Amino acid sequence: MRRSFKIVIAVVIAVVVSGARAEAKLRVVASIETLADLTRQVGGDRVDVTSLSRGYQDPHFVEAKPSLVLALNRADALVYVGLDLEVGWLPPLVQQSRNGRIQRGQAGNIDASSSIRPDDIPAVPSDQLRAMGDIHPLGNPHYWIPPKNARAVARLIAARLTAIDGAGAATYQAELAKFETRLTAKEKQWEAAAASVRGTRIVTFHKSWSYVARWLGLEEIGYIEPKPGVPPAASHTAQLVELMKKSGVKLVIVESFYPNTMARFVADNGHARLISAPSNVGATPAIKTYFDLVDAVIAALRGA
Amino acid sequence: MLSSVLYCLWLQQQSPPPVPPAPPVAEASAPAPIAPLEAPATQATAPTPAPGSSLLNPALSFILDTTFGYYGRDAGNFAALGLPPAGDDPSPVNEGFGVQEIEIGAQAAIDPYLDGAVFLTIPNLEGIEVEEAYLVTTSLPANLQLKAGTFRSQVGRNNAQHLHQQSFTRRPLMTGLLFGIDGFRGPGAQLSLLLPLPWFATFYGEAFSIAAPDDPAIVSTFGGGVRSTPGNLTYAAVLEQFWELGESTSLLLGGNFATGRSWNCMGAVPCDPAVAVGPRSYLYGGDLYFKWKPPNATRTYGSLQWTTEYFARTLADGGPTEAAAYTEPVVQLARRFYAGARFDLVGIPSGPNLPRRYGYAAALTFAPSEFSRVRLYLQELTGPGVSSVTVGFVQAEYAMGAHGAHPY
Repeated sequence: MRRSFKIVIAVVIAVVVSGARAEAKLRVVASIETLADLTRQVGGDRVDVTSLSRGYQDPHFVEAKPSLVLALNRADALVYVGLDLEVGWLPPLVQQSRNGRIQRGQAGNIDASSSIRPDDIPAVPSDQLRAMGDIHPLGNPHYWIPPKNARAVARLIAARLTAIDGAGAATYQAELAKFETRLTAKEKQWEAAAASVRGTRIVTFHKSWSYVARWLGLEEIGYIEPKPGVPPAASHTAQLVELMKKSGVKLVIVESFYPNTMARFVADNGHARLISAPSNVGATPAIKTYFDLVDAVIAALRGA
Repeated sequence: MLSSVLYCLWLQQQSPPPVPPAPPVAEASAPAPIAPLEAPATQATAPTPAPGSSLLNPALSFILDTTFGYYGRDAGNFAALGLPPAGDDPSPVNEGFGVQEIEIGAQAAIDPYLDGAVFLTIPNLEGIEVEEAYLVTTSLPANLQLKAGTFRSQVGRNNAQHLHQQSFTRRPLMTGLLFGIDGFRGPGAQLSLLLPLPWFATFYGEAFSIAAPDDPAIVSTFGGGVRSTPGNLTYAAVLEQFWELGESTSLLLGGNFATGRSWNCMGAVPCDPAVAVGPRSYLYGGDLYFKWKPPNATRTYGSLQWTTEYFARTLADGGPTEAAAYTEPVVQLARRFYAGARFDLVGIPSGPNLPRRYGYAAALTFAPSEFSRVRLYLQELTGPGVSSVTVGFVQAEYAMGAHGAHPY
């Protein structure tokens, strides 16, 4: 009797659990808001997406709050930028999540960088990497703005959502197709709108606009940070200003989460204009989607 | 039967659908010529590793802490305080230049179900120790996680931290006096459960075989008795809870209890371990960690973290109850500068092993990068009936190798 009772309880638990999973939306956690939005775009109403960080945060330095473990614990999938962008905060959270579905090697562990070709992989010996500053050995992780990369990431997400939730395959394919159609149209608009800035020489605060520069034909001349993650000294700033004057730099771009005091000084003295540009969905309340983000970036570049 | 059904469910969890390959990468458009200032040379694609290359190596890190300083002008005064330095504090017998600690860390996924970590340490150039070496599960069912090996107990906040995770050059006085010179750590196992609550709450249950202290002259909370005897094992229970009070402020609260067999040689020299079996000991207390840090901290680089711990030890069979506490606020003043203060209070209540002592410490840290920092540390130690002692150190810390995550 006692044994039969245990069997009944176990079966009930199994049925309830599997039934609940079938009814519920797929829970996806993204490390940044842009990836959260891309997941919503291709997941439609079959996914419930949350972001671990806000768009007005520096994604390198997100606090590894224990509360984030809760979201990861319940997630069916985790989408992250990769290339070690989140290495300072995400790995211990994933380990503490106790969630096998999102561990490395599982379908629910979606490294978005695996869908793109990373730039700026340092070609220096590994024991000399840190002498170059806090660079990312696997490549530049600030890749999500150009449409080519957003398209690749969206395709990867759709493929993985399909693998996890086969019943939603048709939805994911349809939403992906819708996203790509819109992206193709917008890409033409963005490139046409940005034609006026093609060839413009720029200086940026951090080396996080390289992919955008390559997409839109901007020419990176220098960086306010002498090396990634290293704050500028006066000598570097003076050198940079001189270089800007000689090179005819027209634009200084700083991400909106960085303080722009130094950037303003460099821009003013280098006779360039300063843009405090969004780099992520959620950077301002008006930027709710990937399309809003790129619209805002293009508008900022043109406005300058 | 129930367990076997759950095991089957777990096995199903461990057999996910095959991971589909990434879709084809869109062709890269021709990159614009770039002439960045001081940018490293780059290559178009990742290098192809040779078969059997270092790709399977664990992530290795080496952390070096060097110091220059002293424990007061009169070493006798420091000894009279009865406040033994912790194992990873600067050595009291090698004042001046010192190598406070060298830590060698290796971390890797063991297989799809386990992560592993080994942290070897050489404190004050006095031989190599295993600070931690453990495996931890990543996907047990029912929100459970198992950790096994030799590791730092979850009891308290400072106890679980390695030297380089701390904001001060020396550990709080409480840690060495109540947790052990090397902290509450040893071979053991830990089972933790993430509780199904709307806020983060995790319960940890632990069992350890704690070694006898290196210094037989002191009374140690744990480590007495033959360690294979279940009654002599040390058991601990911790409930850790976390609340976000707002986007910038949060609170971590730990409730802790541990019991084991105390070590007490009662001054016998040489010390006979059979005699050193002290009465059962109970260690209990709380730790509170408050943090204020705006999410867009890179705009201002201002933040505050404030840790407070209180722990008491009761020895059975009519033994004393003795306790100690500390509180330490640390403020980030600018991108590279941090200032901290710590107040230590030992002996509340006091007893034969924990006389009343006060510690006033200040630290100023300059961190040129994520991987190096220099710290000035000053501490005034005093108490009734003893001479005050000033402790001062300049500490430099360097990290090589894998970038460790920043623990909360």
